[in-house]
Amino acid sequence: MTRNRDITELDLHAYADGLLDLEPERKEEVEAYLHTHPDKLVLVSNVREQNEQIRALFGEAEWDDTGETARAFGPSSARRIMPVSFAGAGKIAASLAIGVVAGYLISTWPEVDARQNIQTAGTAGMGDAALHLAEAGARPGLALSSLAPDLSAAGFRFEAHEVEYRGEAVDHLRLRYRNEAGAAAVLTVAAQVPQGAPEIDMVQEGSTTQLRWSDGVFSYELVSDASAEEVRNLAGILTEETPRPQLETLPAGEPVQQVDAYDPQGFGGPQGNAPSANTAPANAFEQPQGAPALLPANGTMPAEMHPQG
Amino acid sequence: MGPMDDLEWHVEREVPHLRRFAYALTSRRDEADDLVQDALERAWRKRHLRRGGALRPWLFKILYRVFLNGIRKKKMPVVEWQEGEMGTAHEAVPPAQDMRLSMDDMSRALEALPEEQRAAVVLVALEGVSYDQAAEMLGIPVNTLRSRLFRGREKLRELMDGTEEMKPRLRRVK
Repeated sequence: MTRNRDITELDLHAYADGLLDLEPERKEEVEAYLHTHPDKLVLVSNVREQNEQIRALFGEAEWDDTGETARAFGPSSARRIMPVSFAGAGKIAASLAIGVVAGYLISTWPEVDARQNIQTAGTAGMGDAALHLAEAGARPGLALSSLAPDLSAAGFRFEAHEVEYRGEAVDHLRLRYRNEAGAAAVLTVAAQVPQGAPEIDMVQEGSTTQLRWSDGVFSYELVSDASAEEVRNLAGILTEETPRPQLETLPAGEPVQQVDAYDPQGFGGPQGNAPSANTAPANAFEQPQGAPALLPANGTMPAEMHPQG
Repeated sequence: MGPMDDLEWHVEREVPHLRRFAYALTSRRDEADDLVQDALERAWRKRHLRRGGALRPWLFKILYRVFLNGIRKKKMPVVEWQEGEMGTAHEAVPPAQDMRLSMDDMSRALEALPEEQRAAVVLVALEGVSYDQAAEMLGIPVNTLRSRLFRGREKLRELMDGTEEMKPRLRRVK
């Protein structure tokens, strides 16, 4: 008879936890052991008592109301959070709004500070809108990179930006990011919201994924040749930012809408053919061969590229 | 209902379990809900990495990881013993013979356990899972789970019966 020979502390805990119910033979062995070792009943009793107290302490029914928490899993969380929490994009959008509302953006921008501050290119995608590619690296304290959402958690680094004007008002702003694998992601923030536009819309065409959403004031678009999963991750990271600032809290004259340095050729070249927000492939911002390199995201212009230098 | 909708539906059913476990880990309802929210957002981002299997262990494992990451970020020194409000440890703890096994006592005893032991003890108690499943949920080897469980229970017993002195409640300080 081998009964009781191999009973261990593990068996006693498992018995107390009710884990031997599916192993009736082992359960019988443990019970026989306890019959001959009543001192071990204390351990079993203690474990069961602890389990009961823990279950009583944390209850069950009170946790059934999942409330908003459950929405954190799924795109519905984006619908819930995006409209109020795109801090990085929000700051940019706020700056756009100031530019649109005040209408002073370009008029207050000293041309002398720009190496090649405005180029115009009519494109089919833009309709009658003029595409103004501006470079203002010499303007102190105007690093747009500080406003660009930080997507480094998804492996994407801010590279450059593009501002598009309609007349003298900002029409929209594009921010380009790239990951180590070379995949680009372009975030467009526009000051118009199409009527009837869905809150969030995702389209995949070939290797390009396009994610659009709006918050009722601004529309956003994320286009990337990264995987759809990575695009969702990017959107998810954007939703984790803190709430965007209220427009009215920004000083009316604060030049946050200004842009930092980049080379306009990086956005399609001086002859135009600038990418449309709706049609631009993710690689639309590829640097043309022979063109000067885009300036770094910190807005610091190399001396050899400075207009004064 | 598509596969993703189906997954969301199943995840939602797990939320009460996650909330309860999160509360057992954090001892604070607001932190528990934040923890669950963070875990679910992480789960959403990582869902493509899930390779079938039961959903609950996967979600619990993520939640526990997020919890541990949060502890590391806080670097624990933010939690200190506050004896001023509750008197000395001796004054805060009634003599063992008079101690009632109240819910408050159990709550305090659990808080006094090391996080890894507390996680093992409450997970097995609340979810009634096997040790293999619990180990999977915490992302640790089953032998480690058993060790933490047994040590945690022993310490819990000592705290509850007064063999080991129970310290005053923790209070988070900046």
